[in-house]
Amino acid sequence: MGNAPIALEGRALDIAYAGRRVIEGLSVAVPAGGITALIGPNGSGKSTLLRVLARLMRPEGGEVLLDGQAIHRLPTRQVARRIGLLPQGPLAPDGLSVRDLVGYGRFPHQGLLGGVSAEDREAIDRAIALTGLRELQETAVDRLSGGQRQRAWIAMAIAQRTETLLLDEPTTFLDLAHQMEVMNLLERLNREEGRSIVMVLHDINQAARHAGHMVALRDGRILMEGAPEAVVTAGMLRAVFGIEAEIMTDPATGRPWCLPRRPIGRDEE
Amino acid sequence: MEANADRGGPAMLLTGMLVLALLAATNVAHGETNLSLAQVLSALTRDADPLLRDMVRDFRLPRAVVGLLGGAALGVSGALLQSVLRNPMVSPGILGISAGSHLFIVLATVFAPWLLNLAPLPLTLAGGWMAVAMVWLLAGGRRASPLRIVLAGLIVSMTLGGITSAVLVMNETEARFLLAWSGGMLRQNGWAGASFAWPWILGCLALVMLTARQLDLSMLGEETARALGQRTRLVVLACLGAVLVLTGVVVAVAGPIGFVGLVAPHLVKLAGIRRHAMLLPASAIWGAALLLGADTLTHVFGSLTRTPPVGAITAAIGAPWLLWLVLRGRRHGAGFAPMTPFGVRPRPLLPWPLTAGLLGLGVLGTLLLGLTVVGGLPLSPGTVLAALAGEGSAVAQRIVLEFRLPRILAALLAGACFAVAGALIQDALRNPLADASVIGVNAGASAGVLLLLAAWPLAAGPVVSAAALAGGLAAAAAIFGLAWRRRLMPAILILTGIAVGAICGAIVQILVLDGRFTGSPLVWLIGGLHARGWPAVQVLAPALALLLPLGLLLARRVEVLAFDDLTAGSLGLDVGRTRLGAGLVGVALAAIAVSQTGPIGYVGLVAPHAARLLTGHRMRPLLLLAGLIGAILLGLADIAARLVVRPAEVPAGAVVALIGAPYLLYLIHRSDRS
Amino acid sequence: MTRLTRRLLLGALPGGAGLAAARPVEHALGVTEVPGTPRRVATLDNRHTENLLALGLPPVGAAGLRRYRQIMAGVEPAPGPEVTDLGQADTPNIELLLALAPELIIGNARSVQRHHAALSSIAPVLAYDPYPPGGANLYDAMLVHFRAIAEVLGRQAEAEAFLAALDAGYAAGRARLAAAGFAGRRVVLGNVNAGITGADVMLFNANALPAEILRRLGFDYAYDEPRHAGRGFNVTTAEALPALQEADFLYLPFNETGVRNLMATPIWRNLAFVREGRARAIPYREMYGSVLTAQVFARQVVAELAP
Ligand SMILES: Nc1ncnc2c1ncn2[C@@H]1O[C@H](COP(=O)(O)OP(=O)(O)OP(=O)(O)O)[C@@H](O)[C@H]1O
Ligand SMILES: [Mg+2]
Repeated sequence: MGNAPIALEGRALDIAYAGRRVIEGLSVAVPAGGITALIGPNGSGKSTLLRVLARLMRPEGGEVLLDGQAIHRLPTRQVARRIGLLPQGPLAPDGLSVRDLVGYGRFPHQGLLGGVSAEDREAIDRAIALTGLRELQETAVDRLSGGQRQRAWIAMAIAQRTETLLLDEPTTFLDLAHQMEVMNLLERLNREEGRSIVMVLHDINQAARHAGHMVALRDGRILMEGAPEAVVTAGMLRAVFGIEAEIMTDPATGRPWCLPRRPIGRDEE
Repeated sequence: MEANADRGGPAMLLTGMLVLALLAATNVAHGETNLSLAQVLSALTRDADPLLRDMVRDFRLPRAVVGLLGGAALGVSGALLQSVLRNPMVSPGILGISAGSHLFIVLATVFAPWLLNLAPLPLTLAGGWMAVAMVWLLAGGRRASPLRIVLAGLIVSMTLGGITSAVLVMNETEARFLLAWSGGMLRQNGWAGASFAWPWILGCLALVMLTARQLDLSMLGEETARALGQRTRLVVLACLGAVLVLTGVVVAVAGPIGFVGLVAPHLVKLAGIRRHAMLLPASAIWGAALLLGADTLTHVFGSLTRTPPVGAITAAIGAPWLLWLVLRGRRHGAGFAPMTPFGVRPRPLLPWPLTAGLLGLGVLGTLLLGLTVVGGLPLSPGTVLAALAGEGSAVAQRIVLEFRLPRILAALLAGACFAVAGALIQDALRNPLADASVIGVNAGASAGVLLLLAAWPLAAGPVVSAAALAGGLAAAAAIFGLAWRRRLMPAILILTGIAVGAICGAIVQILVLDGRFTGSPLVWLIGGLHARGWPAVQVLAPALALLLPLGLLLARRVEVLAFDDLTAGSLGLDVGRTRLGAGLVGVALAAIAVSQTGPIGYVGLVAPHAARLLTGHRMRPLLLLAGLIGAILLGLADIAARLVVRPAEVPAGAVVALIGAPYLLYLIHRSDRS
Repeated sequence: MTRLTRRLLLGALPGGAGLAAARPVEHALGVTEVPGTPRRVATLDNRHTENLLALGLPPVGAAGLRRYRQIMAGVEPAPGPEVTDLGQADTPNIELLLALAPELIIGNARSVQRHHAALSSIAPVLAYDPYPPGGANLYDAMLVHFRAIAEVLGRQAEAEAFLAALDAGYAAGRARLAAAGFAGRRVVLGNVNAGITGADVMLFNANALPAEILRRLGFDYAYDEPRHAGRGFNVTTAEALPALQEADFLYLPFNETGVRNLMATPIWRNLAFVREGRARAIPYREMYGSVLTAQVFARQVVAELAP
């Protein structure tokens, strides 16, 4: 992607849990104003990478740069105004209403006393409208269906109004229609508001269709990255996921389209 | 891999047997008079000195046998519970069995001694099982998560313990002797205890061994096990039943003994043993070794000074062990429990300022009640009002202005402190069943006071308060300090709290036993407001005035803590520091309140929930409403405490437990319906 | 606030006690000024209720009175109906106490310490520690406290008369016991309770109150362990008895079950004092008392052993 501006960059990251290295020497750049998809098998370190990029975890080595500044030297709150993260399987207290949940997206913008400004209210309303939750805004989050709940969480991340948005598997739990809705919503946010988006997806085709940049992870290392056409290849699928697949081109979008055939014998212990 | 893991099994069993034999021999040789091994052996021969023979055969041997059986039973119970509940931190003591047994024994001793003489075992068992039923209910029945079970056990133990102590305080003479029970003692008079215990214990152990294979399967998780054709529910029920019988019997013959059930299985697991066919017998052997070893230690101390209770020694050995496990362990989730297990409306019934106004009226009403209808001299409302205005008889004025007014004010203020502290700590630990006692404040304060009194029996009141404050703060500081490296994860904090609390508890146990005939240590351990005057108000009012605003300032951040750590972090919250801040403000409030009233549970637990029902999640209104509710709760409890047995009074702490327990159960019942 | 109200109120009290000459009295919690010779005295410990009754000046109010009436039933002099019940010893009812307008409050230092401030705002407070540090003879401590109280109340004559009678009682008892062959016999006193595992034996140490009484009755007390002197007793089991079997064993049956269980143990049957019929029960009496308890206990011992 050459000289495209960079929203967020990880350099030579070494990441470990309780002494166990899960990511080693990884460098990654998130193009500004683009949609990046992170793919890889379970346990490959996608969520971990997002955590480090959002400053929620400190890497053992390397650094994350935001506008050329090391993110771990910036105050938490300031980072939270610029980078939003929707974790995989977030938990909310029982009985919280959708509107309250979305309201928490404004937390990083509020002062110590936490008064709700007109801008806050506008951001909340817009996030709720964008995610189609207006009818449900007084319902308790724990009473929502899995898909509705996911949309509520996305609404919260949207209300945070960060220039970069990191989403960990935003389409899991959703039916096909809602998956498409969420993807369209993210595209719209990207297109109309110029937000950079990074999302972890398990559906390669979805990733190829919506992302402009793809990063394929395996065992904590980047095996391949680039435009979907370059990344979604039979070779990549074999190396990253260990499957044989056929690659076609979606006539409607011109994006690559993969059809998995069979797993190749993996040697996993 | 399975086979590899268990290679150490036989070795573990063998060394266990050896250690056990050695400990048993030492144990038999130690006691009121220490014997040489030769003497012990000679006592077993036909022509031994009859007294020596009787001593060894009828005291030492049965004591060793009870220790053996008891330790084995506890070790196996612990191993079973850890497997069935799939939680490495549970042990039989945590389920509240001993607290229930203790209560029943105390009630029977005081009110129906014939019952105790007639059927001591069924009585103790019934008590234990009642407690377990309460824990089960509180933890949410079949939806109970292990952490909730642990906490529910803690709460039930606390409540029943409060009631027990209240009964004991009111019946001082019986209490002096009964206190010995609460520390656990192996000593026996003849074979009655042993011959009573062995059929139950051996029977259960045999039964449990039959389930070993099934337990291996159920470790794979309930669904998997079921898919493999196992009747999980049946296995779980059989094991829980066995645990209840085993623990109940041990409690009946030896009193409550903690930590053996926790430590023994872990020792065995450390040797790499996983399969239950090996794990259970090894836990039995190492449990027995631990208990006999601890008992021998008590006699070694005993020849130097007064014999400490064996339960205190096992706690002193076991608690550091628990700490080590907790702090090095990797397998703890974030300990997330829904903050409102009792259901909450997303929108409050009334706008909160209105609710606050109404509660404020309630506080005022409590204040007026506290000025008029309390025990002692009957004064009409008119007299009270006149006295407040500085008119009327001098005696009435003094009673109202010097005693009633500061005492009810102190109750209201302390109640508010406990409640606000509870609300902050529940959110900081992200656990709805927590309060300041979970992070050691109460146990630390009690230990501090008793240590002071042991060194200086006649210390003045303010010095004692200072010791309580120091003890509470020190315990909490230790807990936060130890858990800091694990980023103050709620589960870590809670388990560290249990360990530190147990260490303080061991100190308290030893000192209570030590002082029971010369002083009345119990009155220091149950909170109350007897004779609290303006000095207490002068401490509590500034503390609340200073710390409540601090809490309110933190409130918005604390609210965000209720999310999981990742979400909270992505919203820009410094999770660790916020948790520390909320915890510190909560601990400070609670510790200051405890220093003035003694340890009072429940207010900090119940008031925040009541407030949540009224206002939902917003932390600021929540803190205010909880404070008001806590004030009313403790105020009313103190008024009731002075009315029920006039002219005497019961400790307000016990009354609160009596009000609080049914209320908590009601909340659960309510939420089960919805 | 306290200071202020108090001063105001004291000024308002008729004939404030401050008028009489006050003198300093030393006690366990320091030195207290006691004005005049108090007549209206409240007691917060049954020991001092006993002391006052023995001095012929019944307290106007007593905490622990219900319990006192129970355990000292039939013991003369007894508190009359005019004595106000102040509730429990550890939590005396402050309002009733205030309303009684006592001139002096006497209590146990180990519980008075908790609410010393409140109490001393009502009247001067004297507090005594029944377990002075260092394992002192508890009987001597009792005498010191009794005489100190008598002096404050101006009743030294009554005190000496009572103590003389007490000693005369000991002398008479000693004579009767000697006649029954008990002179100089080694003896040990236990309190038997069922406990949790059958039978606890609480052995009184040589410095305990009843041990000294037994000595004064002509016995030689057989159990003296320095490590138990602080409290004056050791709670143990029959295991401790073989070492004492050459002495006579007297026991207080705290409860019947305990005694039954103790006697059911084989070790009991083989003890010398059992085989030789030298184990004797004395009617149960609480030993947390003072001079009246001493008097009654001595009488009961004599009545049991030398009827
Ligand atoms: N909190 C944690 N503590 C310890 N190890 C962890 C933790 N979270 C993840 N890991 C480990 O780090 C590695 C990468 O995990 P990560 O969650 O980043 O994978 P992922 O690519 O997001 O997988 P998935 O597709 O299943 O979500 C895994 O081996 C996992 O076991
Ligand atoms: Mg993931």
